[in-house]
Amino acid sequence: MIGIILAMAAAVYALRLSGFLLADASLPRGSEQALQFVPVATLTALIVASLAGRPDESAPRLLAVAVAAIAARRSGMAWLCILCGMAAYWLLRRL
Amino acid sequence: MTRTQRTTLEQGEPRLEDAAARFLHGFVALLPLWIGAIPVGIAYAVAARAAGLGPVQTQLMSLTVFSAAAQVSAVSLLAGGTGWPLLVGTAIALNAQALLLGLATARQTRPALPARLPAAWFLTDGAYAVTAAGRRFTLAGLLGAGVSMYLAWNGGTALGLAAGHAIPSSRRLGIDFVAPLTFLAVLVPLVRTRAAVCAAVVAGVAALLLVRLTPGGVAVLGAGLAGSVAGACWLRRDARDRVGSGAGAKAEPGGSA
Repeated sequence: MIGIILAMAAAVYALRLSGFLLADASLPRGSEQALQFVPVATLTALIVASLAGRPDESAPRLLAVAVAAIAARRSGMAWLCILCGMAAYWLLRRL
Repeated sequence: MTRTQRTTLEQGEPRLEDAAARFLHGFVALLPLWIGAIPVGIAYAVAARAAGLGPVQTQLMSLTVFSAAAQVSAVSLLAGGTGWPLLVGTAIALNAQALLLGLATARQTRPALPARLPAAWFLTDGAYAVTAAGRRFTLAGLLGAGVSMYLAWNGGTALGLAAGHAIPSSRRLGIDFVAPLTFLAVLVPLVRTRAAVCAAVVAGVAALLLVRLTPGGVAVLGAGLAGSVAGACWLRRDARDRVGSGAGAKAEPGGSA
């Protein structure tokens, strides 16, 4: 069992390290432009994957995400976005 | 930190107390995610014990693997009697997006090789997100956020081992929703240009399709790549159009952190 745990740990660490090491390699032309969109694209994918993981609550979560996005755009403050999102989510879930 | 201080730092060697301040800043910035990580850590520990893992093994997995998705799925697979190749494969598939996060981090901070080893150990979605939300993306900040998450995750695991059965389920409260909201808080200010909107839309649609077909990390990796390429294509098409119409071909600034 310990062996399996350590094998999983090695695999996950190798993955986390691979990006750091690949950064030095000369990447194909045009990939520099693509790299600047990695944060936007990955964060969007993470949000969508998380929402898709709870199909039983998709309506309150989608609406709460919309509320939180508006809060983030208007205020520019991360904590307000999280607070408004959670408040909207808990409120909508009770309806 | 004042503007003049920052300028001198950029020119000279980074000072130790400044790195410590950034580390602390990253540590504190991740604290909101503790309310999501600790309950999941507790739930993982309870599930691991139920699947037949000993307390030492349960904690060891949190200390070494340090990935909620990989650990929770491993425990449910173990309960079903799965062999180790599938467990390792699932751990890789659920963390595939770490490749992109590491790449983006190294490109932004250009760390020396010895600094990459610990940074990679603590690299998670949450730590990356809160660091990207800060005013400057630094490796010290990422490390602070990573260590903060490491403490929360292992603390949650320990809590679950000690008193898991006595604590109500966090899934019912929906605490897990804090994580996507944190990502959203980082994402929204980054989406400033049409090219960034294009990258986000393509990534979102791709993720929606891919999560039905592949494990989470592979879906996020695939969608992240598709969105990044789409953003770059938009930029290039934009530049070409401007050259064609005789205007200056100044590239639109992208949505980088």
